[in-house]
Amino acid sequence: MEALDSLRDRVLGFSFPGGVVEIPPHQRHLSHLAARAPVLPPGLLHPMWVMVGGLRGMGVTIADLIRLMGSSEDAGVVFGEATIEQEEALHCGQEYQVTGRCTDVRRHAGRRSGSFDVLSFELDLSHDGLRRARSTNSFIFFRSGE
Amino acid sequence: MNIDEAGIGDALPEVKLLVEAGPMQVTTLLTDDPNPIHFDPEAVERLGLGMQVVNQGVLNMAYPINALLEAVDGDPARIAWVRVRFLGNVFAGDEVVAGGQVVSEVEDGVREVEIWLDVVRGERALAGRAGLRCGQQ
Repeated sequence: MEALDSLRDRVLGFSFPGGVVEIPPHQRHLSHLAARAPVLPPGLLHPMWVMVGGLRGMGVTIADLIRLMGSSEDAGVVFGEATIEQEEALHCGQEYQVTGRCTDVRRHAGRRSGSFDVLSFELDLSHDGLRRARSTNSFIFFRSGE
Repeated sequence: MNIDEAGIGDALPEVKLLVEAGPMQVTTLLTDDPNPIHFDPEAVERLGLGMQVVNQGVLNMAYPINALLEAVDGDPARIAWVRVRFLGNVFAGDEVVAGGQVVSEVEDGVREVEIWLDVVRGERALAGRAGLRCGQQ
């Protein structure tokens, strides 16, 4: 298991490349079906897209974040907490610029779970230079097998 | 229930559903999430979690948001924020119920609601709060 100081130095210094995300109508349709969403006003996206859009547009994959944390896809990485904030509803077919940053890495020891690290990061979705939504997430990386 | 007319303690309309593997597969593709526990039962078994695939956190969060949407006439713009903690796994085949309760008066145009997702005959999978925009939008 990597020392926490070394892990924090690497992760907290990591700058997300960012990117642009635009959700096409067929993905709106399928995602709303998958989420069992009620019928929404035309063109508006379910608020879960603040999280999904942020993850899609951050410029790295979830697999990249897992590797950044020195873990692997089979190691049992799970969501800890998630927050979404909307200045307005996201729109299908509209481009959003995604910017993001890792904000914290902490190490804990659970009685049942053993050692685990928590990565926190935030992603902003902006349009026309204004932030329209923010997604803040924490992923839990179990280390008990290391 | 309409959030504009609700009082503290009023319950959101519950949303009950059966969790299935198909929506998880769609979500895996939409999020490009490589975690095999969401689509490969053998991966779930290797982790000692049983034989049913695990629902993504984003779907578990979406179900209480659906209950919130029912309280704001289906307008996603009226959901100012949602903050949740993921407490446990939800598996394909689980029946879940999403609900909530109004916990505040309107402050700065936003009313706070406690939300949750429970596995029927099981444990609470998610808990959190949300802020809903009230009044004319």
